[in-house]
Amino acid sequence: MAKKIGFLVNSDRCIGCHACELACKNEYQQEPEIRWRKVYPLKEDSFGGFAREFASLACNHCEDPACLKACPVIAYTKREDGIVMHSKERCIGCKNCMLACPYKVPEFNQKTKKVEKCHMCAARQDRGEKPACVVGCPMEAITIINVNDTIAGAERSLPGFPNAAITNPTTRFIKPVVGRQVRRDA
Amino acid sequence: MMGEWALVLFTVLSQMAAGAFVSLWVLDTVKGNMKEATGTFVSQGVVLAMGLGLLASLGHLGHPLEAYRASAHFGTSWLSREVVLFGLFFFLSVVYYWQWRTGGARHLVGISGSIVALMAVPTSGMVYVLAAIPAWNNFGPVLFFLLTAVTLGPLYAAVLLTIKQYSLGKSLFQFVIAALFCSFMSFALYLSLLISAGDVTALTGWNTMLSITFWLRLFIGWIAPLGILGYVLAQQQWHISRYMILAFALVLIGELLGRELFYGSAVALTMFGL
Repeated sequence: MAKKIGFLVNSDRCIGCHACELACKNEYQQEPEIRWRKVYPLKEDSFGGFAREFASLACNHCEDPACLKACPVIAYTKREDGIVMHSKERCIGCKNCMLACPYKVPEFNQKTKKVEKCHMCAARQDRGEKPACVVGCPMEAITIINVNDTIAGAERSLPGFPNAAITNPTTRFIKPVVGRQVRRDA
Repeated sequence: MMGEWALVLFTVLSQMAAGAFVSLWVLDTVKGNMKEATGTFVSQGVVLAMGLGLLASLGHLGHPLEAYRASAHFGTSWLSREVVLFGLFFFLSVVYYWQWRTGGARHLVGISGSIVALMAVPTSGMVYVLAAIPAWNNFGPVLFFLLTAVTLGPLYAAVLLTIKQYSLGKSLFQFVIAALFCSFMSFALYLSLLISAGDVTALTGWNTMLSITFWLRLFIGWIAPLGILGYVLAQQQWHISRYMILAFALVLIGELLGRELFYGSAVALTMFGL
């Protein structure tokens, strides 16, 4: 089976430091209001106990991308390896992809009057480098995986994430373990 | 969703033009006694409304001068299909107007334009049938866009025909009353379905109900024109012309308010409740 890459987001490791967001912004010199990657706080009682947990998400590079279907100018394409690319040259700024994406990924750049989004650092990956967010995370909470592989503990969704059946995102999650107690015996 | 004025104007004007085109073609085909000057005037009005609608639609784009490329994804994008069909409808409207003006054969253009208009309006609605916005992911957008066309279109044609002293029977207004009543009832049903659905769908319903725009739309776009048209048609000696422009203006304002509400009240799926 051909390699299909996706993000593995480990919420058990994520501490919500936003370093991934900054690494992405720094790499692509984004406008202040644009964030291709966002760190979301999870609902505190989602995992049994009460805890502050986070999920860092960018484009989910869906198997069945709603943005690609909705775009009237074919600005979106899906590569062999699964990365959903957006062409700024083709985009006319109609924002139809922004309406269609269930994950609110495409963002409108007021300066260029075009939409933009994460492309999983495709050029870096083609050079054999890791994406900026993966490199920038101090907790190693984001990794690139082959979604066809079986990853222990990886799930397709987290509580509060829109229904994965809509577009079949390639992002996989590792849930946080809440209520873990460290006991020091005398 | 502020700043959607371009889409509000485009959708309402294009649906009005589509409805008016079909009304003109039906009247011409069924009654067959229309003077060429009258038909020319009405078809000119259709071209004007559709032209203004297309012009307004450019206001939504980041790069309006590249709008011509929006037909490229006809195979999967409803927006591309909408662009192609309304572009074709505009072209056929211009040809129809020209045929009226020059006295050329217009039956084929009339029927072709009507078919394209009847395809373009639901296609426009399908652009908004999106899983990401549960309140739109149903029959709503297509039905409401069609209802705008069948209420506003005939009234627009009727205003233009009355200006040219064309005598209209009661049937057109009875049709508009029935369409307005359907529009009101179906919206009430839609709203109750939204509110009972839960989550972001219910939020859309409450956003609608609690908006002043909804109550203005209710009184201006449904109750007032239904009252006026009902009162006039109930008279033994009816003189619709003096009330025609008022009824049209009320329905037009109601539809514009309703469309603003459509775009402004919709709540998309949230990411982790945010």
